[in-house]
Amino acid sequence: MRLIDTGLLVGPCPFREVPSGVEDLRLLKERAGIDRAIATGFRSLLYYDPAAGLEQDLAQYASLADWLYFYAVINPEFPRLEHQVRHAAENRRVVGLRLVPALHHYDLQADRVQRIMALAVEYGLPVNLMARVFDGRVAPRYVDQAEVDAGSLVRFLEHNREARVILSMFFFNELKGYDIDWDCWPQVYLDLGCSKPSVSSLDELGTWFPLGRVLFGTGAPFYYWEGSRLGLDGARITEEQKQAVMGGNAEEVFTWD
Amino acid sequence: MGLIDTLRRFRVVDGHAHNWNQFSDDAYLAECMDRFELEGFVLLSNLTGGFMPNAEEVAASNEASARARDRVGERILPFCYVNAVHTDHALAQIEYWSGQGFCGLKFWVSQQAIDARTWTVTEAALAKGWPVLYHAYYRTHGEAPPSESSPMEVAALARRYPQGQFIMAHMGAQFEHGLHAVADCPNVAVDYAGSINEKGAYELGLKLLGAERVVFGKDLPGADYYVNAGRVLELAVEDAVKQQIFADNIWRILGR
Repeated sequence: MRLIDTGLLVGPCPFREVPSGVEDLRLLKERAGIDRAIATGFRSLLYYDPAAGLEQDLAQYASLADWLYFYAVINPEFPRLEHQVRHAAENRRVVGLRLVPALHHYDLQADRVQRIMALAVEYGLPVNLMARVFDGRVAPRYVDQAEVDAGSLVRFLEHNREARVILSMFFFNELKGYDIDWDCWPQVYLDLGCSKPSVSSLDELGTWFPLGRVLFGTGAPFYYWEGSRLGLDGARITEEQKQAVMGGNAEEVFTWD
Repeated sequence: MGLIDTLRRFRVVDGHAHNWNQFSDDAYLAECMDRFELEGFVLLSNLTGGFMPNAEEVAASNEASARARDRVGERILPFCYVNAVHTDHALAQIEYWSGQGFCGLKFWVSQQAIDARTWTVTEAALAKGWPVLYHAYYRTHGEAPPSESSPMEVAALARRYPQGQFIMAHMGAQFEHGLHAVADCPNVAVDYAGSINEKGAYELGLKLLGAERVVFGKDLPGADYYVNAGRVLELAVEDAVKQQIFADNIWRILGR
């Protein structure tokens, strides 16, 4: 079984010491049985210039390049969008773009967001839309995360039917509350990481979201890893579906070298 | 060996659960207890009445807990829910339910831990030999329930009654804050029940409080059982420590 974690959060965390050095990630890979992972660095999330943060992440984890890939965080308000996306697309270790309106505070309908999405389609990169980075109940007070509302999300998806969009760090109760028919959005994927499942959420997920488009992200090592894995192991879905979520779906969404 | 099999090596008691939403269905609750192979299930009421329940709503909550215990069986370990603002009613609830097999007191957000009415009700619970489980939240964003207690307030309550046993729920939400608040209160244990999933919580709990003061709770049904259990399995400690967290500590606190 292939295991692909599509949502590691790595690099120096500004709030507390998190075990995400090179050796820490090597141990995580070994213990968890991860074959590949896609990471986002705190530096690229929090720097003024996300590309500069990404460059540092790529350098720090160069020795893990055979299995550790990255999202390129793009802030649409930052200059030289075309250069940023092209630069990401040209790097074999970057397999997708990541939008984080929760931190960068922009309108998903803005022209520059649409420009990013068009470029993503042009370069064949999936785009991860991250609802939040931190649990809003306990994030430091100086972290002011903007919520993505249902209407804004639907308009964003409607405008970008050509792009592969991965929704991450959305909570189950939010997504279910949106009352969206996900069968109508075949280009939309769901990353399970930190989605606040209830006792029955993972059992019932397949009744409202196609399991063939669910990805296994954990937010480790900032968030606990084994809970996400055990949650999926314990869910009342078939072994084939679990294997697809664990890695098979991600094999198809991303272009790996 | 898969993680499910690894988990099966441990005896597990859920030290923090509710009978609301999906678990208002006793049959589903019983099915989940069997599915998760739980040895015990600390039932903290369905919290009828929201943030400020009246006396009738508190009574209805406790009656629902008793019904769940009667229907599902003795693995259900009901705690008596009270609103200390209605002090006389709270005292009467403790008196009545202590004779019905209830085994602890649950405070939620209707009274602050530093309120004199809370002290009066706490004294009655401690006189029964009950532990007192207190919801505590250091909330960094959003509006808190009007009378929600902070971890430092729970610590103040525990210091007032050093002979009593307290459990601070959710590690106070923001775990560094919560754990440091009660670190020097040896009569306070903690649970990390719920959907906050930040790595480091259990690790710091063990470091500051020691293995005997960390209890496993999940906040079912609002949180996933396996997701919560996986956090404990992930700890880089001996299995004996995990077993303390999973079951032994809460049994000791309950005097069983």
